Amino acid sequence: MTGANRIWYPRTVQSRPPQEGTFVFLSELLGRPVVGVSGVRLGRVVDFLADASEPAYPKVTALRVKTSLRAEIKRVEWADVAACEPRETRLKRDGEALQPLKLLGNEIPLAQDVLDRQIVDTDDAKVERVNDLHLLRARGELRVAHVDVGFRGLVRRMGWQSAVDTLLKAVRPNALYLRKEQFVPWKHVQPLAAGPSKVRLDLARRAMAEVHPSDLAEILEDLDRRERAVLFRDLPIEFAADALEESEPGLQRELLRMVEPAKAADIVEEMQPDDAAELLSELPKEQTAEILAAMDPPDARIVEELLTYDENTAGRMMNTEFLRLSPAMTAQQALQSVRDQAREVAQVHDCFVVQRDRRLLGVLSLRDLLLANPEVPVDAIMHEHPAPLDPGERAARVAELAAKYNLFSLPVEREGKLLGVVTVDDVLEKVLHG
Amino acid sequence: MADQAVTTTGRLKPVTASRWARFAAVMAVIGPGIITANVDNDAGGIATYSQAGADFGYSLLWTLIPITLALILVQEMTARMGVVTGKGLSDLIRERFGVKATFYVLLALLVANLGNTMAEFIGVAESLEIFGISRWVSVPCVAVIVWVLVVKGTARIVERIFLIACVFYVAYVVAGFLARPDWHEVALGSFKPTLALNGPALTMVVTLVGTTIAPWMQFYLQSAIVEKGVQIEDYSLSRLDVVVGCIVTDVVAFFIVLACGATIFKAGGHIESAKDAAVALRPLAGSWASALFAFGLFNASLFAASILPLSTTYYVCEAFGWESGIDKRREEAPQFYFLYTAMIVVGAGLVLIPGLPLLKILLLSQTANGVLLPFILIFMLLLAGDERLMGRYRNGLVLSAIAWLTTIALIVLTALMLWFTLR
Repeated sequence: MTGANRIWYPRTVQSRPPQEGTFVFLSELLGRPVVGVSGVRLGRVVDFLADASEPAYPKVTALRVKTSLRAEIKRVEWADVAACEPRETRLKRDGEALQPLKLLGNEIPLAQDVLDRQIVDTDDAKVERVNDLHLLRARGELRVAHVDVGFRGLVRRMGWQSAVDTLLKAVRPNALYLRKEQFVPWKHVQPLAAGPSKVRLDLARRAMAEVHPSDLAEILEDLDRRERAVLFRDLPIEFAADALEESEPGLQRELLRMVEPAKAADIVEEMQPDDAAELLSELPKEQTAEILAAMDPPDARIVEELLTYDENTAGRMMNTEFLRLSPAMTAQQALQSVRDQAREVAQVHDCFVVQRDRRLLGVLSLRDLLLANPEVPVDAIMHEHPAPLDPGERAARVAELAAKYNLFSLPVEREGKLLGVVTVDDVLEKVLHG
Repeated sequence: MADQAVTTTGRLKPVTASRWARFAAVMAVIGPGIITANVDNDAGGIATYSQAGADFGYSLLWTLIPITLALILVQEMTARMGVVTGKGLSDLIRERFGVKATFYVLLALLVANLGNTMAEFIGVAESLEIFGISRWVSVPCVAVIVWVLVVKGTARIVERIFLIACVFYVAYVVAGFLARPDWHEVALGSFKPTLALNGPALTMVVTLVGTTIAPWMQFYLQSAIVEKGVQIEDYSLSRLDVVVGCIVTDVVAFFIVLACGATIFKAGGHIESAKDAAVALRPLAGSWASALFAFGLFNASLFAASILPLSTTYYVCEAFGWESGIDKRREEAPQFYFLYTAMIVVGAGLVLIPGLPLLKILLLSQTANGVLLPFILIFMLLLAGDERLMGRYRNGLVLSAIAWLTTIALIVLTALMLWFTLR
């Protein structure tokens, strides 16, 4: 670059950034020189700290600078930065702008904890590795816009972007590589490096809410163990429970070992009792005992009850939360009752009419209720269940019965008392994977 | 409440199988160390050990002891990093040293491992030729078997098969006994360090070290341990796995040197490859020893040919954030399947091209191994000593000092090897 081409900014307008609303990559700024107001070279930029409590476009709040003199890492507030460009970063002051290193609770160091690390893309529900960060310069601020997870990012980091672009433009001007960037907007990015926990917790709550539990389980499986622990500990209890239900037994064991017994107990309480029993039966004995001891006694009792039945039996698969109606209710009262119970019950397809002593009188579907005359009593529209189960019935037999009678759920009885209900989704899982 | 919980759960799982449970717990950790160390005795390794025995008799047996110690030192560090961080080595290098370092390291690894894979297919071809099977049949068949085994099999089955393959190395121990060595001389050679200070002897020692401690092993072992999900509580078992693996490997190496030392060296013969050794053993130690030797070579080559392409593909994909894993569908992980298939097709295909300078290519891969090793070791030491990463499991002062000294020694020896081979 010759002297004639170089752009000189008059000192007086230094506070205004040279360009408005332009994008720049993190890799273009890292390692570039930092120059003081008097033109003295102070060091090199090694990191940018962003305010992660901002959901959409977090603002860069400070820089980390490695000093030329003693190779120390110092902090420079963004307020002291006059211009941040690929060529150099100019400050509004000299050496006195270099402050001791510190990290505020809401700050996340981009080069240290995001660049080259794994993140979760919560929109596509995928684990990705960050090749670069796409920053937006506007109104004197620098904000994180996207993370680059594409091949172009890799090529840019290698310093081959212009060479590869020129070559490809000559050979295949329409190449997908030239037209497509693989960016993930920051609002869909869940960083995983261990940072300030408060920020991560908020991020996890907001971002992971969009991810389906099955996808979340898959993400947890794809992650390295350390990131997996970070993400799982950050998940709100309900998400953790959902993800856990969908995970493989080996992963379940590992995940529950990552959290305190009290939190593990909270997570298990959040699950359906049959899924909780299933999960606990896969764990080592001591761990199961520890979690059960930390659970609410009534919840623990239900799960323990289920655990007394053998694996792959109706007793183990059954749900103890189901829709109960009493025979004297009218259809209208029954519907209101269903509405009240639905919060606690996962499947509302079938209603079970029981006496006070838990004896099963009959069943009716929600459809029956909706179509019935509101004044008709329940025991007039219910019918006898074709295939009530013994708690010891094997899963394969349960599947046969469900298929034969086209049933959605099957009651489990002992000595005429209704213990719980097995639904086909549980049976399906058992027959496929059991 | 707590009591009740304990009794209830106690009733759940009858205590009939506590011994089995313990066995299962051991099996959940054991494997990576033993498998890695055994794969190390691949076609190239067997050739080197055979040559050491054929050219120098028992006189270099003692070098296997320090080599084993160095191997244990390096592998233990790798295993510990895998258990503590739960990440593969290529991931750690990427996160700590950035894209550029990772790219060049993995490029060198890819070249070296492609060369090593070729060496394995050459081993397959040569060993089966002893049994009268043409390489035009054996190499394509084995390539297909390897590809199918890994793509269609599950990780658990594949590991079982690999563990069984480890057992077949006993062929070399038997061959060693069949060669009827003079045990007094063997003991002398094993415990009395002697070294003729001339070019060939030094080259041999350096080559022995170079074959035993290879860059790919560190990547493979660490990934295998991460894949197994070994937890820090079980680390002592994992370390045992590594130590036993290293010792078993070098015992096998010992018997290969022994078998060739007792026969080919005594008869004043010279060999160039592992196949030569198997052929030379026939008149000297009987056809059983020769057949066992050839079988061992086939087993080792097949074993290593199954592991090298797959593991290489894993590190590359992980470091660059591409989807990887045999549980992924082909559309989900295109880079993974492409790279894996390419490694096998190119590795096996080059072996079949008539007139290709195979020996030169193998030398080149050996060179790539050698150039790469110092970088890998230095990266490993920096990572294993990093408090942020390893916490209280980082290398202590004493271990650090020993590890750095060993590393420097290994680097010097590797540099010497390169100098000797390229001269």
